[in-house]
Amino acid sequence: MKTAALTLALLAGLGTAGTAFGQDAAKGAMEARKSVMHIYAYNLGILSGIAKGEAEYDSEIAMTAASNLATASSIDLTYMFPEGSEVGALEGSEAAPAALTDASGVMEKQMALHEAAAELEAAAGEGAEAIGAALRTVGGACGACHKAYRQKP
Amino acid sequence: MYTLLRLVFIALLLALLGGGVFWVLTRPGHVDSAAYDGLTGDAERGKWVFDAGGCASCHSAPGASGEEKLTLAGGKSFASDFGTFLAPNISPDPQAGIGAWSLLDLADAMQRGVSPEGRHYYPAFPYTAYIHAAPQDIADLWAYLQTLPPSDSPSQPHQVGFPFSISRGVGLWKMLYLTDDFTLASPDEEVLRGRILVEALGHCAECHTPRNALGGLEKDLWLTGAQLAGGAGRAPGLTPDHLDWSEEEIAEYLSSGFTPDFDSAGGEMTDVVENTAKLSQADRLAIAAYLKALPTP
Repeated sequence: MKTAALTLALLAGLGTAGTAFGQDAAKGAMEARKSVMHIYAYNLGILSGIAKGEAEYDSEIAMTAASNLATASSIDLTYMFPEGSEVGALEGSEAAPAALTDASGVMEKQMALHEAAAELEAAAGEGAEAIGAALRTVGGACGACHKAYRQKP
Repeated sequence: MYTLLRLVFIALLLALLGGGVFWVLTRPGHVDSAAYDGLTGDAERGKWVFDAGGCASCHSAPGASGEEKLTLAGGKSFASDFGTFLAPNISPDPQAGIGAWSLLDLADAMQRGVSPEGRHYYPAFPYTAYIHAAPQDIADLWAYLQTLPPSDSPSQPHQVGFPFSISRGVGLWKMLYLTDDFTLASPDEEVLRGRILVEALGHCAECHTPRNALGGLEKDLWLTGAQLAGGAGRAPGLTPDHLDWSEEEIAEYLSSGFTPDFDSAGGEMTDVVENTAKLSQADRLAIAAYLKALPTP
């Protein structure tokens, strides 16, 4: 009897810990995927400033930013959408429910971004105009993924 | 919500039917045909109306992209508290589409929400916005629509239950919510240019303004943000208290989809940006000027 009670208490404790771990895991995943987005955004900001003529074209800076964007775009995001990390379930989350269930779709959209980022990397050495054109393709890839998998709470 | 709405509508219907006024009040209206006399459409300018009006976003086939979006076969579904609406075929096919229509038929549809057979369209079709367009806009659009590829896909029926299935009820709704008055008044020419794009063609308020229980826009909360129909999240507020971007930043967003922080548009807004990217920079700046002129409630 004593053992049974102990086992129950232990199981209850584990259950609580499991939930807490689940929430932490969901939050960690959300923060990880948002961090990747921030790396995208930072480098896009540098390249867009050049494309719009707000910053002077410096091939070294442009190529570094484009190369880092391309590298970041190769980070696999598909495992960063665990259960409980969707919009409504987790504060701060803007992941549409489809992002959690459609890993192959997320992968497909990310491949499109990766290809566009590789083109941007090639354009980065050619000047502001080439960067501007390649940025439009990257923007299209961002939009295509957000259209399917992002939702404001 | 749905049940409550049903009861409200049924009560309204019964009350009015009792008086026998229902039929008279809910007669489909028509545009003033004199305003369309002698108008010749310019298809090239009509493409601008088409892009600004976002026609392809709703009327292209589900999943269409790029050039395919110019085939207005219909079939996309739009969930709401009143039922699920399916966008019809508006390609130039004379049977399945609207190829057999006249310019006045298109004007009645877009500006009065009335079909050539004299039936009310449900306001999922944003005629409460398009009513503010100029007759020349409609004529130009009509000329452009004829140049698009026909599709023989038949239009699908809406999935709407009683009492909303009585389309005459929409006539009552129109008495309350269909008006050609603009919402924002301004002496500024650029703001007025933006007003045509925002209030008339772009129909921004359809998503960005909250609705009351009857599905009418709450005009005193104009563009302050709203929950999207069908539980698809939220459309953010666009009034200056919600949106503190500069006019250039707003124009950039409507061109590339990038926010000032290099975040990018999501959800249905990606379709909108696809359309506004086709407008001129002056148009996008006019939209921004309009948003900056909005009062903060």
